[in-house]
Amino acid sequence: MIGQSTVLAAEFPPSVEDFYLPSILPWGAHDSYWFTKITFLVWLTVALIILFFLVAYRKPQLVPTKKQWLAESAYGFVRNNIAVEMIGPKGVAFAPYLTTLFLFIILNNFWGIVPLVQISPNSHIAFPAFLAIISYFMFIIVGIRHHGFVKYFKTALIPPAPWFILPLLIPIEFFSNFLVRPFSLAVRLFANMFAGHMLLLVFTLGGFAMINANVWFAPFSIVSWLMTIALTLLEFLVICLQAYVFTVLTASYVQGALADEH
Amino acid sequence: MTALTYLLAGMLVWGGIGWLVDHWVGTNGIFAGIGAVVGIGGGVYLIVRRLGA
Repeated sequence: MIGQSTVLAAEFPPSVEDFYLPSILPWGAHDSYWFTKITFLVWLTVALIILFFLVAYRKPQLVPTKKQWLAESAYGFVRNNIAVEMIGPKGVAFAPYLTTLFLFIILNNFWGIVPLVQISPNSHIAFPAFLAIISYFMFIIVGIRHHGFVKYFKTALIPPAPWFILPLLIPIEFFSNFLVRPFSLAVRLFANMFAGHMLLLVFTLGGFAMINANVWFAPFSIVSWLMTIALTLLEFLVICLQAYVFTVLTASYVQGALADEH
Repeated sequence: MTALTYLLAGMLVWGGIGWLVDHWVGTNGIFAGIGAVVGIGGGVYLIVRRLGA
């Protein structure tokens, strides 16, 4: 509803400005980003996940109902195929967090291709960045609790190598384990959602721009809009893949923190 | 994924340190070049030790 009018009104070469949607609140709307469509979608995602699991587990049956089956298979998928697969038997303890993370990301991403909504909150770096910060602190704290402070940083930073080569390797280990990880987690998810939204904008608005420029360009506009539909299907793939990748990498970092030196 | 991170990290860290040394000594980039090569060597070594059999 909100998306439609802004898309039709937008200028053709889409820019970063198109990601900053106007305030929903009518008062003080000018330059106010406290409550926008993005904020609304994030809260809607949270509410939907909470409600869905509450409803699905209200009266658990031995033979699951449809909703219960869906909830159980979502949890079962993350627990068996991500948590236990990556971390091992200890992974069951992390399955609830990983499931929450997975569902939160996939649903937030999914707004990117829902007709008339079509923007993902994850195309603003704040959300992926915060999720990455949570994952970052989680694997460090898990490692410290498992090994103890000194021993954890020893196993994380000091590879099995002769002493004279260690000064060369320790900075690399520090950089790749403690600096690159949160950054790459956040940027990977953000960039995928940002680029996806940008692509859809280019093809949709490009169609309008061509048909407005010259009526004879109408066939090209139609091709452009068909491309939008095809790219929406591609986006669906990216959405699922990125949610999966984020969760798997978080699990693999936790696994690395729990691993004993070898 | 981890392997790629090690390679890039090696190059960036030691290349960066070399670049700083360049600035400090006043050379044009010789230390950055040496640093990048040494760093990628370290990255390869790390991959073999950490991820190899």
